Amino acid sequence: MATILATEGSAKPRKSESTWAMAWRRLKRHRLAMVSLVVLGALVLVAIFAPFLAPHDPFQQPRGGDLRAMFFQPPSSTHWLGTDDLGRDVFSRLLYGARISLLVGFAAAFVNVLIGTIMGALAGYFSGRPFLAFAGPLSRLEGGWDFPFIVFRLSGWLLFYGALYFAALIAWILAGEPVQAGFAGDWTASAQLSLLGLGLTWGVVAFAAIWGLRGQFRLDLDILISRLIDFMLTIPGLPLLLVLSALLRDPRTGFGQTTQALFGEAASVVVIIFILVVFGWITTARLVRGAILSLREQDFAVAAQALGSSQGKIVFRHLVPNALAPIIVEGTLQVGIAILVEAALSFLGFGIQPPVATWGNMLTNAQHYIFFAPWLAFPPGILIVVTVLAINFLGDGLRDAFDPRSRL
Amino acid sequence: MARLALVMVTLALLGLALAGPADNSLVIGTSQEPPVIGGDPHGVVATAAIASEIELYLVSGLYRMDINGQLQPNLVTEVATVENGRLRFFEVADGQQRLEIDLTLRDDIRWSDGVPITTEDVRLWYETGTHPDMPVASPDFYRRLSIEFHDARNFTVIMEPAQSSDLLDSPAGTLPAHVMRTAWEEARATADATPDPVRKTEIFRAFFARFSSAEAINQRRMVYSGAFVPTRWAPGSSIEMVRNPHFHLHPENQQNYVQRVTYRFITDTTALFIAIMGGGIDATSSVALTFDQALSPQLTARAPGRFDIWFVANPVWEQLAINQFGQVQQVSDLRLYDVRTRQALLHAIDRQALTDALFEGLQPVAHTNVPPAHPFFNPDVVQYNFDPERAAELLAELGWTPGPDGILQRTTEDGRTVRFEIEFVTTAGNAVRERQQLFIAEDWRRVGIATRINNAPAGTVFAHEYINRASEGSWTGVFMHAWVSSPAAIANAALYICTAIPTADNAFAGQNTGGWCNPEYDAARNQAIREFDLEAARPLYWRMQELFAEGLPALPLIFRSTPLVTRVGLVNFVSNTFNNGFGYPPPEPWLVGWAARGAVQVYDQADFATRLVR
Amino acid sequence: MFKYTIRRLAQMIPLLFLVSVVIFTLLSLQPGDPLDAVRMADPFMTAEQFQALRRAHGLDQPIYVRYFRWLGRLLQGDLGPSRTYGMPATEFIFQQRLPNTLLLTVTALLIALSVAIPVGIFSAVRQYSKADYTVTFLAFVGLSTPNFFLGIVLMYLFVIFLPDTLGLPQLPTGGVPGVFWEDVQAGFITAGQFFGQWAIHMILPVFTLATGAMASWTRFMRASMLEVLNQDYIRTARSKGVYERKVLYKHALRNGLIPIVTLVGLSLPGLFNGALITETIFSFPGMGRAIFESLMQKDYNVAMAALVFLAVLTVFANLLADLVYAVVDPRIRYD
Repeated sequence: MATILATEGSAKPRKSESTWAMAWRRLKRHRLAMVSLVVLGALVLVAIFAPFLAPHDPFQQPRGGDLRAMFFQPPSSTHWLGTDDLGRDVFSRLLYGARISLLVGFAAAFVNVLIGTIMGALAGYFSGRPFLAFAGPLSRLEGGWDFPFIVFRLSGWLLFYGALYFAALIAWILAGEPVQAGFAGDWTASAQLSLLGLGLTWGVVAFAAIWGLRGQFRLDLDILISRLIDFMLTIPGLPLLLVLSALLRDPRTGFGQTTQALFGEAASVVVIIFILVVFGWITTARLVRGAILSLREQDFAVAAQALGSSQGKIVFRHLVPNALAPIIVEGTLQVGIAILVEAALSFLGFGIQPPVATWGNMLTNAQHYIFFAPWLAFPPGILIVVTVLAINFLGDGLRDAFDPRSRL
Repeated sequence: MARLALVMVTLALLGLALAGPADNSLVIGTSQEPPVIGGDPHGVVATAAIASEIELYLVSGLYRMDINGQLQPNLVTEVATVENGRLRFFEVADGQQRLEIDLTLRDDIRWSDGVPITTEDVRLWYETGTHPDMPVASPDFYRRLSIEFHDARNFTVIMEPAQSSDLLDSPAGTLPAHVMRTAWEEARATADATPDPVRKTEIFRAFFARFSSAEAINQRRMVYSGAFVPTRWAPGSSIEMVRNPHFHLHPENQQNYVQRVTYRFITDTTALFIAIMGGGIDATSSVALTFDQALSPQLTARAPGRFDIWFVANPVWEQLAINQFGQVQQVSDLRLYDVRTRQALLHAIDRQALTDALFEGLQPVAHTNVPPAHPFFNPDVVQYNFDPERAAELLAELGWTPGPDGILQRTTEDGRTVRFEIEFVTTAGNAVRERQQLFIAEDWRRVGIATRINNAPAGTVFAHEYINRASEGSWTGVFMHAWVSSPAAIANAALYICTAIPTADNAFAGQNTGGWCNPEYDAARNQAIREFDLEAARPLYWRMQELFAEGLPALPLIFRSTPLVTRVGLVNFVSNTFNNGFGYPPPEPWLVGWAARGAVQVYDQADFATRLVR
Repeated sequence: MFKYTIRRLAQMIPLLFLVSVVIFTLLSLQPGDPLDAVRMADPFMTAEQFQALRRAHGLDQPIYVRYFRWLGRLLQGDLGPSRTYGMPATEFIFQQRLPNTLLLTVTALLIALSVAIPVGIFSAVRQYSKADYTVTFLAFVGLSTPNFFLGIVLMYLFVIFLPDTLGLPQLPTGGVPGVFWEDVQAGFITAGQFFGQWAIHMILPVFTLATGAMASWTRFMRASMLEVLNQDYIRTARSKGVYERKVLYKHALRNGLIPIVTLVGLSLPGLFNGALITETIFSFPGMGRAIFESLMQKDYNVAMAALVFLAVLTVFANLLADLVYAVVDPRIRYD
């Protein structure tokens, strides 16, 4: 009774609100993030309605009269940002460029987050739950020699040593003859190579065999995925993207033919989204993996398992939704990163090809003509900065909004 | 600290600005750096245009080419001609010819260390070039070559089967035997002892690199026969050369002419541009400024009184190759094998407007592949000037009518409706080409022809499996690139003969990538290359150009011109279209000098190029 | 720790092996032949001659043979000749290009650190102040600017705009000065002029490269310091009456710097990637540009050598970062 009387007349009790509502309420108080949201919204609208907003056709070249005078015009009332090296209206190209840059940014970020979440969730959930285990004959292992462990151990040895044997056998099949000929006295270059290959393979096999006596390993999805991530992080990123881009867009490699056949006009855009995804899923995956690792020990997850939910359900119905907050923040930031990488690739000539305009390839041209038309460089560059800045502020704001400890 | 830097930079720039006439030196700016210099005559290590240009200063050939493209003697006493009996032709089997050239070396020629140049040096050049495993850049030439040595100064070069292009350049070369012979014997022995062809190549490349790399120059390992010798090569930066005291063609009062020549390598054309504006460069090489930079207001505003900007026509011919293989679907849909289609495509392009708008008219429209400066140029061929109505007529004749989206369409024999959409390939990453491409695409759009652009980097599109497989449809429309119409290329005229068509039967070899074949053209050409008498050859080359213009194996666009910037007061640093074969300045490096130091002007660039006036 | 290091080094080998296989395969899949330029130049080369040339360069072998040949040579220290430059690839990369990139990257790194650390600390200490907001805003701008755009803007400013309007001398747009240490020794120029010339040439590229790192490291430093400053032991020190400055430098800073150490180590490969674009814009003869050009020109020996080197560098940088972290932070123990 006393409690009820005490609360009457003072603050009204709050309705319980969902995480989303709370986040949105907090976000609204973050001024920079709200401004950024408005800016981004405006950009998206402009991109969508570009055909209606653009005063000129972005591909239109002037003809008739003194063409040279119509190129590289400075900003004027007919051409608000001037004309480029072929007399096309820069402002219109900027608007149409927004379409591509934003489309690529959002699409790549979406796919990155999708793939990253799946990979990260699988890695996190199955961490420590191996699907394959091997323990050598001389290693210490729980379970010892009882049935059914003995079956697993024996089959493990069979697989392991069998694989080693086959590797050694194949090496011998491939390299045996030249090496034997070499030992008979005829050391050709191919004999030397074969010896090298054979030696390497047998060396590795021997080493593995000896190690296998006492060694054990477990293979779970986490190990696989984490190793994959390490591997991908070791490869030099940007050069590889250049190589991949050339390979996939090339007029007549097998890959190039396939992309052209499948996507036609949109091939360039699809290829660049693909390239952005190759390395882009990694950050999200790591993030999600970390989140899932800590979430799966919590009570609700353990309970779900005890109640007999399938693993898929546990991961994607229970765990991932609880990690959604950082995923959303990361996804937002990924849009910015994708826009920057696309711009860099297009700038180097490995992204979207002219005459389709993107902010990146408008900068390539601008660098070439910086001496007589410097105004060509600034609009696309500034737009990139503004867009990515807005995205970063929004992401930062979201992060603060979702984090109950931060001051908002 | 910043002030100090400012002062130093100003001083440095000032210093550089005064350097030229003050210390009788010449600084040439270029955007390419050669891989090797001066000791790789067969192109085993690498071939690069800039290397050929720099070697004008370092290497004397048997002949040299003067400003008008005429051969003059350099290391030999006189050029071999029929009149002086040194040049002889014989008929041998199959209508082939055998050419014999007697040559005599001068007796006053020396290497830069004073050792006389003799036939032993020619012998070394000959042995290295004709070694069966030597990976030379043009194997066909060495296959036909043999040399008989008579004494220390006389030898005879034999070409069998001979080609008329054999008369366009020095018949042989030299390598300093007293420096390289021992190393050559070793390299040859090692290479012959190993059966692995890759290893052989490496041994030979290493051999030549030993005498032509930056290290070789910095360690003075090599000797030279040209007007200058290199003293220092700072990789990524510059090559310095000083006068060769033993050179035989120095002018009178040679101290009045430049004593030191430096090539500065600035690979970024923007940085090169800045250096020129800043005064640190006295002249540009043949690979330096881009066309646009030479026209930019920045440069032209600073030019008066400081430097002259010239545009020299060069033999680079920009054209559109067209796929004419009827078995390719798109080719037969668009009827590209019909000459009227090609004529329509050409009429639709306003080439004059293109060159006016993009190049200020300084890159002339081409009507065939032979440049106007060539002695065999035929001015009276059919021209396809900008005429969109005529293009529309021709296309209508072929059955094309405008479709709903403005693009032409027609119904094929098997009932399909096809749009006139043509694939357009060129090298990606080349701003000038891409701009041209879009300009042409716009012209075509206005007559109802749509373009599908399909660019890729040069390495990809010039790959043999791509450019030579038009018959299999690797590229199905037009391919824009350039050929170099050098004197040898024009003389051999191998671009459009029927036997040069790449097909499966000849392993896709040959340069007639579009597949054009005209037996009359072949007949004229086959006769022309065996005609060593210029006057008799001329009508044949004229006829070939007429046939080109009538049949349009490719769509000729423009001839390029090279910008050349020279400091006011520099004399005899001139260039002409076919200078030294490819337009490299200068024809006589030993005559380059500063008027302020007393150098006498012999050549006036205005006779050979257009000066830019603003 | 020692065992950990050995284990990591052992794991490195198959990883690098795999990376080299992947890179080699991708390069080999590229269309076009390195010898095509030679073939285009000689119209009379017959098919057999071209095949002989290919054989001479070892290009007719199947891919695994070529890979093992490359590997065999690598173990002998020979990475093959550069097709464009004639000289051995090792000499080209390690003697000519790598020192320049190291100079660029290390200078950029030092400049970024020398700005990021103090500014990050300052911003953390004055959290929520105007200065903090300004710093954060600027850091965000730095993160959001593509480095090629920054390079173009700087180039325009210091090469065209400022010289034209204020009469300042133009900064060079790249390359390296044509002066060498031998010139100083020979007395042609003084040491001051030598360093001055190099400094002038490096200003723009270094600043372009450093900005991105500066921006992200400032934020990171700020976040790290904030986390440390909110710890209990800091509060304890304060409540004990220790001077604020001592609190900061003796307790907070040492702990706040720890993550930065690993961050710097892990960022090294990223800096090399950024150097690729920066070097291309400013025509700086470094390894990044060597990679870019060798990929365009199909000089695969150089490309393989440089890319594998980068991979090795990445792995070592990671290992080093982890080890330093363990040394600096006593809470971390590997076994």
